[in-house]
Amino acid sequence: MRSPVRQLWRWLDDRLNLEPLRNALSENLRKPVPIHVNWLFTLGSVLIALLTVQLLTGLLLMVYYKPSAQEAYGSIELITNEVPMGWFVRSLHNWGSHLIVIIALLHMVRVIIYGGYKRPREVTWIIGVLLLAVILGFGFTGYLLPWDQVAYWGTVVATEAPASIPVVGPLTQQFMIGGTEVADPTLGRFYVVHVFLLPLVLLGLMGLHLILIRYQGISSLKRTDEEEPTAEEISGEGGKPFVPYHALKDLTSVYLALGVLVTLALVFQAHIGDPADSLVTPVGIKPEWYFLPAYQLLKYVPEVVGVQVPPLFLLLLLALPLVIDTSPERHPRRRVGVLAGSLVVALVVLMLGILGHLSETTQTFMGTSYHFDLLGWPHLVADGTATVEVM
Amino acid sequence: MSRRLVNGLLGLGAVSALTGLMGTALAYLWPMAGGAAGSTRLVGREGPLLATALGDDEGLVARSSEGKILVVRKGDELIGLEATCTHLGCTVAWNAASQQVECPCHGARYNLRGEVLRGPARDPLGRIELSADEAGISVVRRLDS
Repeated sequence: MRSPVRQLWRWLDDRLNLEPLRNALSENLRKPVPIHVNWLFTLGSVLIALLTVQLLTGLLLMVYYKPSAQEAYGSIELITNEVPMGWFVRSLHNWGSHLIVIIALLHMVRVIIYGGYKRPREVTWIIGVLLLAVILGFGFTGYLLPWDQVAYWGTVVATEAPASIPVVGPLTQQFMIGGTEVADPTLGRFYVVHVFLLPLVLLGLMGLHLILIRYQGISSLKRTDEEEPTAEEISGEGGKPFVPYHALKDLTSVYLALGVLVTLALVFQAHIGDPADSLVTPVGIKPEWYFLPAYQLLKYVPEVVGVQVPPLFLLLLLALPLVIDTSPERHPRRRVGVLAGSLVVALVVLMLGILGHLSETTQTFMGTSYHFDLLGWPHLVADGTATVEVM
Repeated sequence: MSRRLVNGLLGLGAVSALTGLMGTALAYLWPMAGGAAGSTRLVGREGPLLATALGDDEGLVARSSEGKILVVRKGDELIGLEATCTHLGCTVAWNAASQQVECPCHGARYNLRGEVLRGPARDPLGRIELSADEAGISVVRRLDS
């Protein structure tokens, strides 16, 4: 007697002719992956898992969240304090957003190191950069939704910067926030973008990204002007089938990542600050950590220049395989110049982020207090009272 | 009717429909006019802002049809300034100790004439002429053209 699953499969196959599709998929999943594919190559699967959790927790939050300036904060309080396990769902969503950005960046770094963006995989890379922009868009729009002081004023500052662009700046800003200041229309717009538009774009781009990866396979370390290795050649060099060898690595990494996420959500629960007050700006407003480099840069250069750097940075990433690194070499050891340049850029971004975090705070190192000014420069705090300020 | 003509008309119809849809969407999404307060009266968190709510050398931010206004009392005089920092849009506050208008976001400072004393702001705050009666404080006009 056939099992129910087999019976269901037979019933569907009879009507939809699924067997050829299953065979093609099975053959594709059993294709060998190049031997250099290691644990770093599981970051993409980890990202898919985290995005799935984010989608599910986001759906749950939507059940109780109310996207209006009058009710948003109260609904978040309800979710956190009254809805059973609401605090956990919210914490998962909050920590998930941070982990997604970290893993996306690490995934991108891995691709850069192994030259995975090179011919013929430029389209996959371009879609990947667009996915990064979508992920940052999620962070930007989701940040406002709790409608507390940090959310409100962080969004005011972030949406004010584009207004400095001549001619189109003020109009763009007004269109983005739905008026002349961050208010109820802004929340409505950000909510629609966050829960509908961006997920739609994300699913479309992710689908394309995965199809291309399965279709083209993982890149080898051979030069781009050489023939792509065949499955037999990869097997001959010791490459193992994706299923089950690499798939098991993927599952292990996903399991670990979800464990980290759940632990963070349990131990460091997401909190909410004071309700948004458009008449009072609290001290020390800063954006989320992944926007800190751009935020800090605005302090050193005029806004009209600083506000164009982030989109230019994304354009730079898009241009990587097309203009910047067009050499046929893929192996990291033969691309030292590009990797060194990428490392410098990464260090500059990291430095700006650290300065952004430290700026306008007082820190104590080995018993001595330092106040970090607007630009991030430290000044000794004398006797823990007066702060030395340098104009 | 030729096939070319039919295709042309269908294409024109499709383009027209698409343009109509996009125009409708654009009109729908265009920011609506009107601020939080439609009157020249200043409204604080508790309601209409009365002159008696401010002691000497005190400042408060309230809303009016002119946007957010910082009101500072200096003796019998009520000084009005736009309360939105010209750097990145945070709300400024009056600091009686330093006798300066300060922005908590990035430390910009202004005097009571709205002039920038310290960056990163570069543009001054707009000055507002105010009047006060029993019903509260109102905006008379902007002093800068």
